[in-house]
Formats: sequence, structure tokens, C-alpha cells
Amino acid sequence: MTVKDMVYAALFAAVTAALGLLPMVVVPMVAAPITAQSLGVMLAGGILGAKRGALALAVFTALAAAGLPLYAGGRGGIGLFLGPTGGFALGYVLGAFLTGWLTERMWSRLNAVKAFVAGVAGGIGMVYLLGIPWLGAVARIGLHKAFIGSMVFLPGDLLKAALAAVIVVAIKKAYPIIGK
Amino acid sequence: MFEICLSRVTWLHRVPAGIKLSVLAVAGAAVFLTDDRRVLAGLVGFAFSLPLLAWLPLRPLARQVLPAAVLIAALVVFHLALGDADSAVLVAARLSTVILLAVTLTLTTRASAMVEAMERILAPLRFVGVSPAKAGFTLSLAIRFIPVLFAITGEIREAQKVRGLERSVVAVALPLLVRTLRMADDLSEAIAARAYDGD
Repeated sequence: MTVKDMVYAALFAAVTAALGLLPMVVVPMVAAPITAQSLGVMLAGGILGAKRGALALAVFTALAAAGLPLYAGGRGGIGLFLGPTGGFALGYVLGAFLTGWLTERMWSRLNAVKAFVAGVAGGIGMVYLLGIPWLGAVARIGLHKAFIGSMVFLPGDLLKAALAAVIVVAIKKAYPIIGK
Repeated sequence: MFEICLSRVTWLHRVPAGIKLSVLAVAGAAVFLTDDRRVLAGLVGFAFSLPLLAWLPLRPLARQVLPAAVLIAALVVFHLALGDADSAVLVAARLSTVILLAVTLTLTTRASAMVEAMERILAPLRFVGVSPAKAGFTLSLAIRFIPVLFAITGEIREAQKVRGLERSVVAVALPLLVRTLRMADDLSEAIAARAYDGD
């Protein structure tokens, strides 16, 4: 782990934390608030790449576990990782890795569509892949119902992936980190 | 420093973080591994009495517990509606135990003490190339970056207001990320220039 790895990881851990401290968007007709936090997963992976992106989310996760109120709505503490939403928290770290890995693979010809695919695969696919079975098992509601319940967040997450894609492509032009 | 830990010190604050983490780990594992109602009842009783015995103020406790409590209540109603009383009892007992113990730990343990305890737990990772000192440094750096990010965001929004762009997410996010990435590079060089090797 170089000094640069550490500083970049710390920066995007802070970005993810700051996104969770932003006011939540309460969408009418949808019960759960939509927060900007998972944008941090897609940005960390898409801008820093696999290793540093995963490290950034691991740092964020460790800080939240240590008891800083970094998750959306001022929540934090180790309970978030033991309760029904623990799988989503784990999914953040591996999701940032997957988004970063895919972005690195497509780096030389990255465009908004490819960046969107990488963001969706990591920030949505991987996060849900770990979060939904965990929710189903811990809450004893089964995979199917956990899946249906989580679909509330899909539209917001797709919107965030689109936003992340635009930002990742623009940062690649303005201040590329991957491949430097 | 902003953190969830209560500033008013209780006797639970004085218990070392490592011991509290061990109790949480053992109770958390036990509650998911057993179906025995007597063991579960004991663990639930322990989890509910601990915050009371420490005289934790109710308001911050409720603030941390409430989102989980709403979810647990919804799950109980869901299981009862399907006529599955066993699942309702198990889910309520398991989740309320884990959440209450974890929130009690978080409310009575300084983040710095938790980080130190985690550094000790992660110490064996030294053999696969992760240095606890480096991890601690990275965590501190991230905490320091959070207020910096908000300050820079404020400056950029001021600047974009002149252009009528202060509500555009991209027009604020891009300069913010470029500026902070450049800052990160400068900081890396400054750290390297002081011959920091991480240990």
C-alpha cells in the first residue's frame, strides 16, 4: 500500500461519507428515502480503479463500524453490519472493486455507456447480490420477498449510475487517475 | 468531533472496547446459532437490560435504534400475517438483541478507542502486507477530509452561483473532484517528502 493508495482511499471514503450526510431525497409514493451514498461506490471504483476503490469503501465501512454516524440519516456503528442490511454494507466494498475492475478493463475506450455498465454491475449488481440474500436470510423472509422489497431502490440507483457515468467520463478527461 | 458516542461518561464507557466487542461478537453469534427459546430469552434480557443498567439517555438511544425497530416491527407483522409465529419470534429476538447490543457499544465507545481495538484485531493482517499503523493513518486522514470536502463544496457553489449553476450536480461535482484529487496528489507528495514509510 503506497502513500498515494492511502490518500486516494481516504479521500473517497470521505466523499462517500459526505454523500450520506447530504439531505435525502424523499420521493413521493416511495416509502424509503433515496440517498446519494451508493454514488460513492460507483465514483470510487470508476475514478480510482479496483484496488483503490475497494480500499476507499473499506475505509468508509471501518469508520462507520467504529461508530461515526456516516451512513445516511446519521446512522453508524457496528450494528449496521450485523443486522438485516449487513450484506449491502459488504456489497459496497466488493461493488467498488467490481466497478473499478470493469472500468480498468474498458479504460482506453471508456464512454458514458460503458461507465454506466460498470457502475450498474458494481454499484447495483454486486451490492444487491450480497445484500438481498443476507436480508432474506436474517429477516427470514426468503430470497423472493427480499428481492421485491429491494426493488424500491432500483430507480434511484439507476439514476445514480447515470450520474456517476457522466462524472467518471468527465474526470477521465480532466484529471485521470487510473492508468497514471 | 462528531461521533455517535455519548459525551456523558457511564461505567460502560470505562469498559475496554476490546471486551465490549468480544461480548457483542459472542452474543451476536449465539443469537443466530441457537433456536433454544431459553437461551434466546436470556440474550434478549441481557441486551435490553444493558442500556438500562448503564443509564443511557433515551433520546440518542432511540435515534440509533428507531430505524431498525421499524424494520423489525414490519418483519414481525409480515411473519404473523403469514401465520408463521416461530419466525416472528426468532426474527424479533435475534435482531433486537444484535441491534441493541451494537448500539449500546457504539454509544459508549469513542471512535478512537474502536479504531485502536480494530487495529489490534487486524494486527495479524500484518503478515499479508497490511500495516495497522498505515490503516490507522488512512482512517484519520478520511475523517479529516470530510469537513474539507464540505468547505470546498461551499466555495464551488458560491462560484457557480455567479453562473447560475449552483443547483447543477455535475457543475459542482466535477470541479470538486478535480480540486480534491489534485489536493490528494499534493498531500501524497508532501507526505513522501517527509520520508513517511508507514511504520
